Amino acid sequence: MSNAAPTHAIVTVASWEPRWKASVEALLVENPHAMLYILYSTRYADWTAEVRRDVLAAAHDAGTEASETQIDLERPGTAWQAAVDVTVTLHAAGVTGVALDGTTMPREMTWFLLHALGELRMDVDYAYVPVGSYGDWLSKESLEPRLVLKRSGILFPDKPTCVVAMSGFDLGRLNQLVSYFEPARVEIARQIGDRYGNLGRNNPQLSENARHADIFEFDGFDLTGASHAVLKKRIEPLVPDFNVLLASLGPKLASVTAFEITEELPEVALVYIPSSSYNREYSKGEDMARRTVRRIRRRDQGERWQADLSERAGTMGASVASPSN
Amino acid sequence: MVLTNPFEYEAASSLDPERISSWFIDDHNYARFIKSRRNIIIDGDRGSGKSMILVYHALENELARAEADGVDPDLSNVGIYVPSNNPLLQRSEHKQALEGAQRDIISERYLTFTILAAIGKALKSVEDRLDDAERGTVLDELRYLMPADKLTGVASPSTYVSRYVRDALRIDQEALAKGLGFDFSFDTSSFYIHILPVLEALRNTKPFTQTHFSLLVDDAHMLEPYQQRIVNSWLGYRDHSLFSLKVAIAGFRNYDLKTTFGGNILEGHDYTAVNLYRPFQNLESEYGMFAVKVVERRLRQAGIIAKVQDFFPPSPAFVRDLDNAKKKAEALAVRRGIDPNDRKAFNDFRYKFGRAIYFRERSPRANKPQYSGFETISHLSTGVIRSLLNLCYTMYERQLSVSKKAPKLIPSDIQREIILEASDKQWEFVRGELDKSIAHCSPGDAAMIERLFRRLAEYFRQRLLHHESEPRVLVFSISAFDRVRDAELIRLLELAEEAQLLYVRSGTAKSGGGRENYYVLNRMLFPAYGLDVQGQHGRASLKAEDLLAAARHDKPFPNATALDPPLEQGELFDV
Repeated sequence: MSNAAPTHAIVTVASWEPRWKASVEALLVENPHAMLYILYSTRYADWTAEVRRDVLAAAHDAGTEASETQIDLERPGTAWQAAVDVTVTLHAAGVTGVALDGTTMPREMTWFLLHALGELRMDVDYAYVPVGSYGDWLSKESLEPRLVLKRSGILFPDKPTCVVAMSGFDLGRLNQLVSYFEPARVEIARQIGDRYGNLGRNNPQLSENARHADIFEFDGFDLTGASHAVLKKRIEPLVPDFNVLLASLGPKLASVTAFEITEELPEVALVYIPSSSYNREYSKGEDMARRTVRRIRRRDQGERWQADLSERAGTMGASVASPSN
Repeated sequence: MVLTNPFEYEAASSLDPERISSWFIDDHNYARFIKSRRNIIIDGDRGSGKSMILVYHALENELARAEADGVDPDLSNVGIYVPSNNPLLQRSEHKQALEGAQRDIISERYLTFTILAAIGKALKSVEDRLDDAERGTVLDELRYLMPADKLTGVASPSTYVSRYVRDALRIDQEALAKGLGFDFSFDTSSFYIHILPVLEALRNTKPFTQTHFSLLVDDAHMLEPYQQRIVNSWLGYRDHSLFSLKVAIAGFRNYDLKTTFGGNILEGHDYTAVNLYRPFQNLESEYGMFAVKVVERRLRQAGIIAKVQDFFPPSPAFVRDLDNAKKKAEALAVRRGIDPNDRKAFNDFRYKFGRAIYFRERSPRANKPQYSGFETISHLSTGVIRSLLNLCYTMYERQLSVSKKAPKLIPSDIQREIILEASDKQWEFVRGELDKSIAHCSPGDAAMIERLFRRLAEYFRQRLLHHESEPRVLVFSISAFDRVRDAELIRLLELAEEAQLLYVRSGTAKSGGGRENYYVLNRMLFPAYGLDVQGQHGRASLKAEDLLAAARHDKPFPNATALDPPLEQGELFDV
């Protein structure tokens, strides 16, 4: 993305986590002439009020046009409409490229925005800043799994179901997913490495419903395209025989890989498990050394994605390389 | 050679006809309902065998069995299996984005196409029974109902139906995925437009002249509310000459009985309710006998001729100690002045106290009891056949890994090991997983459920060790309950039920006549607390305020040794 282009915007969902501010500030530095568009959850408006003020002030100081909009993230229909409104507004303002700050953005909202921005042919760079250290838990009180609006695949009643889950350390949600859909087949992409105690947390037993799951290793932090290829290779042969439901329960970066899989394989449905309870003390600090910015691959772009990736790997060094575990 | 575990279990809808036929225990009570022309709602816990009953009676499986038996299939009542847990029915547009007529159109269209696809699948298995003229007649009707230029050359009715459904659904879903809006112009699809005429067309062919079609709608609680109302409206259709519905649900609590017309369907008028909750007080009970049949069938198919009770033998020490305890109970009965010639009173005392004495006389420092024997395993499954198979499966796997050859029996120490591990795992789930695994369960709810269940386990242990007349009561009912004041308690119990930690049953009320709910804890929770997994006739009556105090404040239940109000009449099934 050009640093000086006035046709660019930063889109983010405000969070109380310290890394959110760090991520937006980095994007403001990299995109000094971009518009800043902050979405914030009505439910958690109080939790984010102070930091939003700080970020808006920083944008103002940098001479960046900034605005903020409340959204109801608990109601997917409303959140989807907010994603559409943002996209249409940016498009009408002549924006052609967006830096999407996925650092603390709920996966479902990320997918909504990626879909809407893609529909209007906008280039999207996805930015992500890992936390410095994690607390005990981020979210609890999960609700029923749901298929994602506009990304619900092509499903047929006479096909059995296959759940493909990119798992993290929270296997409770994986068990919930399997128990809900009772799929004929379960594929688990297990996150490799020991990042943030992943190995230690990734060992609880699967429920009896998933006892025959096929488990393969996967690096959700990978940016080289290798993990994308691993996942695609597992999923593509399943598509003719199964309704494939793809869930991203591990690293957030993997949710972007999941989106790109559905760009290539539109029959595959994305599944989301919402939560209604968040831990305000979940994360501490930010890990800017492992900050990532990567171009989103759209179905109408074909091979351009790989070229973008190579180009950016050359120009941005560590920020687009695969973070080691 | 890879040995197959004879206790393997899968979702019924994933099984091939051969496995269904070989695994299913034909219970003629249920067959009578499925084969009737009445509308039926089958109510049962997850894992209780609802799907298996429906799948077993689906046409494809009936035909496979008839062929294997070398007999002509009976086509007087044809079952068409319709799964509701297909993700097509869970798509988001109608659940989350659309409202009003648009939502209803899509919702009904998906449901109709799901049933059409099921009809197509069933038709495929019988269309070779239609002659060319009959196929042509059915195809004419299909082309009229579902015109599609692309399918002009298709000569098979089942292929026509399945391709039509797939093509239409692909076009629908691609349209919904496009763009930023949800503009669509789908044709209306409904039962009366697409299902009824197809069934009528089939009935006009010779093989189906006398056929009644049973639409076997499985897991209907998974349907979204509008789809449930559509199904209910069909249930309200009183003419059963052509079709009826057999609808399986996991509890009426999860199923809305309203119709699309705003009314409600009524038991007796619109449907007959059949519940799968089988009494399980011992191996002679309905569930006990069923459990024996299920496991015995698996053993025979694996070439094992042992009796179920011999394949899962109880620990000899456990049997001996239990016998001794029963003798002590007899002696105690005499000391308490019960005349041994009064057989009823004497046997009743021994029944209540024999096992209790075994548990009471164990040293507090002793290891956990020798939980073993098929009867124990059967009780631990709490009437859920999937839980029974899960235990047997795990025990078989463990023994196989120890002995490296096909087990001829599962030694009691292996049984005990697996039972205690499974009980610990169940408590780990209670302690750490509820809010992660159960929708709408907050961390606060999870903590309250954990406290409540721990206190209940302690309460039942106190009863077992100290109660003067009913020591082995293992279920409870709620007294002094106020629906509004105690709403939180019901919510917690419903979450626990969702997690299958608890089962709700209905029985004769303790006072005032009528019926009341009573609560059965998942017996798998008991071994970790050293409890007897076999209960006795009777229910503990616990006050709503005490249950809430346990949940909220971790308060022990008072008066674990107090007498319970008597049941007004014998209730044999609630142990």
